[in-house]
Amino acid sequence: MAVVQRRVGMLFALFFALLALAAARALYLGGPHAGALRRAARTQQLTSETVPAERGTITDRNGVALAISEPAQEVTADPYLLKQPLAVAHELAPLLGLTQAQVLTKLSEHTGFVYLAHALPYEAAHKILALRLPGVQGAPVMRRVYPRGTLAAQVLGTVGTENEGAGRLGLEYSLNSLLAGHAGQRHVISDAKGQPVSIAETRHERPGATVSLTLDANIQQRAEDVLSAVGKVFQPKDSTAIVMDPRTGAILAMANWPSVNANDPGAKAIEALQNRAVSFNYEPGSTFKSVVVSGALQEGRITPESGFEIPDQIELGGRTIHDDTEHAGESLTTSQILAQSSNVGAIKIGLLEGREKFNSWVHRFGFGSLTGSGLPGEERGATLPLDKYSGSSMGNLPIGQGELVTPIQMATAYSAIANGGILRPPQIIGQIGGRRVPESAGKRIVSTATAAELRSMLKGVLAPGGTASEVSIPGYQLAGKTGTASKIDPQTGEYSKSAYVASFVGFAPASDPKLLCAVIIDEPQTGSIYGGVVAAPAFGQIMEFALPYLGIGPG
Amino acid sequence: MTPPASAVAPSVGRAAPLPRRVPAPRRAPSRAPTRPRRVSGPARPARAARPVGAAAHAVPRPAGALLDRLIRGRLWIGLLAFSLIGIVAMQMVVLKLNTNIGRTLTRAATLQRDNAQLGIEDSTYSAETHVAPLAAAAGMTLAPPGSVHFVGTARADIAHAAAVLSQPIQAHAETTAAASTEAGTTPTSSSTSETSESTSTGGETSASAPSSSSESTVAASTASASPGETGGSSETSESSTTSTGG
Repeated sequence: MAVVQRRVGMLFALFFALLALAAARALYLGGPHAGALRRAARTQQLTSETVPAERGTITDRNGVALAISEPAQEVTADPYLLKQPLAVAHELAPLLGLTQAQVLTKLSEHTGFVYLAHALPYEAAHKILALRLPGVQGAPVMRRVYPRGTLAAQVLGTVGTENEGAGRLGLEYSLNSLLAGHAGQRHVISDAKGQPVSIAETRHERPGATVSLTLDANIQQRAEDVLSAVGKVFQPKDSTAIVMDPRTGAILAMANWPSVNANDPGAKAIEALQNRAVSFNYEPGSTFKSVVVSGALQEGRITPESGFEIPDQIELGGRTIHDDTEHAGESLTTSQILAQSSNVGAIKIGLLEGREKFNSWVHRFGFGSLTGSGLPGEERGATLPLDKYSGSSMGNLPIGQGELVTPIQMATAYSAIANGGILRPPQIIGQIGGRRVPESAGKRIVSTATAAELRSMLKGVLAPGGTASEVSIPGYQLAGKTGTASKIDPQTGEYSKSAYVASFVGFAPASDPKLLCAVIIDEPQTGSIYGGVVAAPAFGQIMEFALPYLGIGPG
Repeated sequence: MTPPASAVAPSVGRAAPLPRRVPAPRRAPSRAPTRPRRVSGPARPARAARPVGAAAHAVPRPAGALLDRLIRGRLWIGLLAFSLIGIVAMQMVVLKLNTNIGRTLTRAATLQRDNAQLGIEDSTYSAETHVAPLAAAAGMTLAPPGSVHFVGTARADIAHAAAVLSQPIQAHAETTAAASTEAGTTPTSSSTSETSESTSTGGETSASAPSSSSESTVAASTASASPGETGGSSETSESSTTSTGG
């Protein structure tokens, strides 16, 4: 009996000892070691995650994604925690798309934080993180992808890697507040296996809005292809083309050359990223003559049949202005002056109009101000203030010299002629978040009759004897105006004999225009420098595709 | 004189009989006496006899006694067990929910990624630069400039088209074929398809002989515009308009 009691006593003592041991351990963990454990728990179990907001998609008018965001990871490393940097570099190099030496250089830096890759595609990042290398971590971010590469790259712009990938250029920049959305925040408590056992969202993530542009990817592609072909033949400094629906002001294409891959904007010089359709200031040359003629027609100073005696040259304020080609004195109607692009004729019409009226028409057509397109980087151009007019100003302003315009201003002004006299701001944003952006009502600048007369006269430019007579599209009647303008030589301050801007602005069908296209080629180097030879055929090629593509009949 | 305990207790027992669910009375006194213990002192005046039967149940019972009986009862064990199991179960459910939330978030992220990837693929594959070589490999070419024509419809065409639509297609095809044979022309149905091809896809017909294709289309449209033509011509006009306009 005593033995049994002794054994029970020993067992009791054993259990008591174990209990005492457990209590002591609990006291140690809950007391002296509590702080370290709490810190470890915070880092291992409790994580505060930033949920990156999905940047809104930019699509064309048909829903084709032009800019889209996909989840990615910022892969970072703490070089101090890496015991074998060489082995790690060997392992990571192929996954990062870098050389082993490049990775090793990063891992050898004397710092506790180094970026291994910015916005690495998820699949690659996942493979890296699955290696569970000490000190190598990933942070979720969004990666901007431009599936069509070069398509409308200068219009779309780019995003940066910092500041949650905010837009830096183009529409990505100007629409950043709409596209960016708001990142969310959540606290996650994970179990020992890393599985989340508690998730608390402290701030909800709000994705950015989808923005649908008025651009048509196919017309845009065609315009870019045509500019690329022009680039090969005439080797210009750069070029731009705008395709618009003159009835609404919707921009269907806005192409720039040289092209830039939006996924790799750093590969080209910063100038190549500029949207020249809105930022290129140039002297318009003869395309400006339509403005002079419109004003004079609207003022009732001339009619399409008004006759003018046109000498080979005219002297004004001590300055002599020639026609492009030498000719004997001739009699031309207003229509012929436009068709043949007579400088002397345009000056005579300008003089008939008077400097005050001429100046007011320049501004009425929107020159010297922003068009209201909302495109970032838009220039105003430059017009001569009336009080700065000299004796010779009316000798060069009516022929498109001495003032600066932008391609978008010129396209907008011709849209007013094409749509019956209403100047409407060009529009590039069709829908925001599924809601249609209403088109502007615009303002009437010339009467319907004046616009119709001018359209009729502009048909002559593409007719036999016109400056763009070689351009035609079977079945369609085209109208437009060529322009060939000398550029100012910055060295001499005089008009250059070798640097020109060749341009063409036109629309179709001439009687009821539904599509307008402006092509501006800056400094063609080889072949020709004339708008009728360099720019007008490009206009024809773009329209040849776009008209049937949009189901626009000959009218 | 203090009355004996047995003299009072039975009357109390009768006045407030316990429900049947209550444990057997034999165990009750040993655990927790329902009445206060007797104390010394002068005797209290005798209580008025309590009503028995149904009237006895109407008497309000003190809350402490109810709790006391609840704690003493078997119900409490069940309630406690249920609560403990419930709390554990609830914790389990919450944990499971959180795990599910985690999984759902992971799945949402995966779907978001897939969606973005599909959007990218959709945009890439629909690009002209991608489609054009595939189309060329399939023997297609872009319709040459001027080969696409638009035809207008007269009021008579619409009425005729409506009439054609009301007839069974097979019967109409036979009628058209018969009419064409009588007139000594190619069956209109085949010319229709050719025209449609040349205008909508710029297929082989227009590629190999653009001018003839173009002419046939124009001819078809001209024929359709004139009044009193056959149903086949009208169809040509319609199909041409639809394919090009679309």
